[in-house]
Amino acid sequence: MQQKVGAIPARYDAAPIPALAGIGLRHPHHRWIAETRPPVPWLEVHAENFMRGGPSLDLLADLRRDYPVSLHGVGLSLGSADPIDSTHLARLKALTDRIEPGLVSEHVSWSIADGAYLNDLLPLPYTEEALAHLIANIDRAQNALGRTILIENPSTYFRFVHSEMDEAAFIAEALRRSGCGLLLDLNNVYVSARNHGFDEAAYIAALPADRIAEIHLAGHSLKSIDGCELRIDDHGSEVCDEVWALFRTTIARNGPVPTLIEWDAEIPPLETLIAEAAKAQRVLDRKGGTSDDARAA
Amino acid sequence: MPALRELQSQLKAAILDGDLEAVAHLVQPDRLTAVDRLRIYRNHTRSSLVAALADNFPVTCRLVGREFFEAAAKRFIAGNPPSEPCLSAYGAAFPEFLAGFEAAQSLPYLPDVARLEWLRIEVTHASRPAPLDLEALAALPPVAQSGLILTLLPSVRLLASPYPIDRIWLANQETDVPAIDLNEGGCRLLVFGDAQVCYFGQLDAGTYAFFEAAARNETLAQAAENAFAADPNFELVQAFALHRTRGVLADTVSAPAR
Repeated sequence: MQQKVGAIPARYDAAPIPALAGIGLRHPHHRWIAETRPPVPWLEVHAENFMRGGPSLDLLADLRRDYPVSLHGVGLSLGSADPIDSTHLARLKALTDRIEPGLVSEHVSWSIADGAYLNDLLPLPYTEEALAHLIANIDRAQNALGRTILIENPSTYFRFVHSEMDEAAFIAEALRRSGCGLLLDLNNVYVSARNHGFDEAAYIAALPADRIAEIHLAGHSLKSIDGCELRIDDHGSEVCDEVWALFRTTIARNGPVPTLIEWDAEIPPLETLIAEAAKAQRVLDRKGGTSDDARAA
Repeated sequence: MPALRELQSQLKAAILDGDLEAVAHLVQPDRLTAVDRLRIYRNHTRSSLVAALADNFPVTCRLVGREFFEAAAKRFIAGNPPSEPCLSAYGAAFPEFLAGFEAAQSLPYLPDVARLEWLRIEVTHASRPAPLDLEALAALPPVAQSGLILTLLPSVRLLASPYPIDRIWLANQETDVPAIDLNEGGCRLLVFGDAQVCYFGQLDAGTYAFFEAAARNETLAQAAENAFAADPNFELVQAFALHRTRGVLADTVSAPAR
């Protein structure tokens, strides 16, 4: 069933996120960024960290005057069987009204069941039933916010026995039916591909290239369980070579896309984070060209 | 296979109470067992929520040490998971949990220290309506003055403890914690502040009784009576002076309570 494609106007115009390499704004860097205003093209924040007001929100509102800002949510739980929490959605709406972000994104996952928030991004069974719940929730979010959101492919550590389709097909269908955009997290693709033994290039090829409105890059770690290696998406290190290779291929195919370096654990000095973004920027620069075709419709 | 709502409910229960075997049949074993794969989520959920509690209760954590705190927090999380994604507001029930936590009974002051930490969070997140205008109060007829129902501002809290928790809290802001004699007596605290900073200060028995009556929405006359009962030397003008400098009472003259 085709649902509301294009019914919600894309509002990337308020403060567009440029097709350049930005950084995630994290608490240890707040003061330094506020005082030095480093030349990074845009910032992304976790929306939940700014919903309670206080000094952090004041700082973000102040930074917003100098930087385009993207809001990345971690708590909407779009994949929950229950409708997303209207109180939380109202908080996100209030934050978007205040900050006027260039992009708003969330995850293809769930975190809430029976009113309990697990603070993790759990995988969905890739079934028609889960797809219908996900699309209904994306719809609720887009209608409440009055804008198109992006959904991010998850990193996962298990798969359900009763999935009816693979993850890329599931996400492609959610994009098609909801009209939302894609935040392609290449580290997540790589982590999940290695953890489950699928081909990452085929996964990316199965997603609609014209819906990729943002790319995430991050580091992950290796964990050995009973001699078996598992990749853990901990955002605690530099981007690995294999993910850089995926990034180069994707940019060569799609042209430049807003790209973010995420670093959430073992957070390094700001210079290290900026150097990592500069590395991503060189990849974007080398492919050059126009960025219009990379933007979600 | 269960419907999505039931599946998520089962997984949530398994992740919180740790019985991963109960949901293993839902998950594909693939090199690793289903339980090994599920354990990644259980461990992350627990460790990230322990970290959130340690952020919200740093002095409590310091008093008992990280290892003890983690054990207590894990027990708490299983029965009291967050009800919303803003984790800076997680842990309202943690002080009460500690009061009933057997392993913490040797530290009787611990729940009150945790209560103080929680009140600091509530104060920082509170809304900030206008305080009571003392000139407007003075302009009321005497009967209306004494009958005025008092209310504390949402950003003000009271906390009394038989232990010197204010000194314990302050001492634990330092690298080297000075010795504190638990027998030096308790404290009656006014906790207040703005969105940026939270403060607390000691109140005498009369002033505490006065504002405590306000917290229960009693009248000005009743609050003053309580205060005199607690301390015959209570002076209303001093309580109002504190209100004038700190902002304690809400404006119930132009927006009557109840």
